Amino acid sequence: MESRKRTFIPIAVLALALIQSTSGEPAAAAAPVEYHIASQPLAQALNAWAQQSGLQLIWPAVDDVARTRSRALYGRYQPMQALTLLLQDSGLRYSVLKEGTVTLSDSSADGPTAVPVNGSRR
Amino acid sequence: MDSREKETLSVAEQAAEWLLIMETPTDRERAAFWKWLSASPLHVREVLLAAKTRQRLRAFDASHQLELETLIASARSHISQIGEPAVPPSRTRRMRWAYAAAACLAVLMVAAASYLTISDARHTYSTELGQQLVLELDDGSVVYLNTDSRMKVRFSDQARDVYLNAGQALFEVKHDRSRPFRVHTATSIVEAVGTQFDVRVVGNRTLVSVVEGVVRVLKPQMDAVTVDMPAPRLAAGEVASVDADGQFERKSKVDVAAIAAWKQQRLIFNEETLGWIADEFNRYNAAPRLKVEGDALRSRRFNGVFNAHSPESLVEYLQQDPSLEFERKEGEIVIRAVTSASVEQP
Repeated sequence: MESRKRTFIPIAVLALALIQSTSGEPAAAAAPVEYHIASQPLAQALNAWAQQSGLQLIWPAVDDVARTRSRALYGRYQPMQALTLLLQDSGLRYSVLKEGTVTLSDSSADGPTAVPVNGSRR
Repeated sequence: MDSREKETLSVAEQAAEWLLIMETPTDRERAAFWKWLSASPLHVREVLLAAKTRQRLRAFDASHQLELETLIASARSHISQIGEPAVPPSRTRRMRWAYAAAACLAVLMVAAASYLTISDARHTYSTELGQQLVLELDDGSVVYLNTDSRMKVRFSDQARDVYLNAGQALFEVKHDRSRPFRVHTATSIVEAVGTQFDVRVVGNRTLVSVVEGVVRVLKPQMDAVTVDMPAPRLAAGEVASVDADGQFERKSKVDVAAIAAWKQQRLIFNEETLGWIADEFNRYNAAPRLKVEGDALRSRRFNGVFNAHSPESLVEYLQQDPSLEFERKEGEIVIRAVTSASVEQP
């Protein structure tokens, strides 16, 4: 009779070797995404945006901005449209690096690759 | 067939097609696949289901050293035997044999899992750098084992004990009042009845994060505990750190979605230092390793989200800063401030 030692059966390996090193996300996809972002500290809300968009995001931690309360965002938006809504009145603007990573900077400062965001400031 | 069955079938079809695409994926497809896989438990389940069914066939000898490249090559040859020309498949729908391909790959994945993890009869599981493992324990609990981790499982009629010796694991525990589920590390025992939580060993500390439900954090000498014994409790969204002296430190609430993000090979940073961020990438990638020099630079803090396998994206971002310089060595990228004072002498 067969031994029944192996009671714990690994049922799948998600072998990361399959994905190896990807060279960044594809450029920000325009397809709309269903967002579920509660009102929370802005840095966490933006991380949720990046997760739900499947995009990469990085920006320097600036305490007072990162910890302001974000708006809630529920519904279907194109990623950059959603980001624009989240950044409204934050004093931050976004730019997109060559490999598709989104980065944020102070909108009062000059950034060489910055993309102006329409209507994000009043 | 009812609508639920239809839904399952269509996910199965998608799973099959994805496995096919993942034979020779582009970067974009890889990213899309992992996004799809992590989008729904149903997607993962579909892969697991196929794997479980096929596992009974025991078509592969687990003791062989199965290289992933060999596995994929073998999967390809199997597919061509089924009747497909040997040319690389186009990305069109070929459901009939895509199923076969999916099943075949699933078996190969299981064979690889066996080789990687069943090193003895004491149920020791481990992952290499850059690998992850999903396994179902015999009580129905599911464990996600992260990169570079080692875990031993010992179940009895009284308790379900798991020993996390290194690395990180996320536990989805099946409810069983009569058998508490305990995760042991060098500095703590995390006990749950039915819940979802993450345990990570970092140096001589243990980090515990709760996704769902409540866990108790006990000291190792409190092994023979009873239910009414006092111990700190952690609820969903709470994170605690236990150091080598048994010092328990509760941290601020975190985003629950962020705790499990590593399952999707995503790194989420909330005001983390550049030193920590670089080390996180290094947990998943043998090359390029990121080395950040200088305390001032190492302690700069950032927010953000990355694919664990895109250290180059971080470098690309940092390269925008003219005050930094980058040195590419064999399998390593050194990042340091340009100012002569902070450049370390060899």
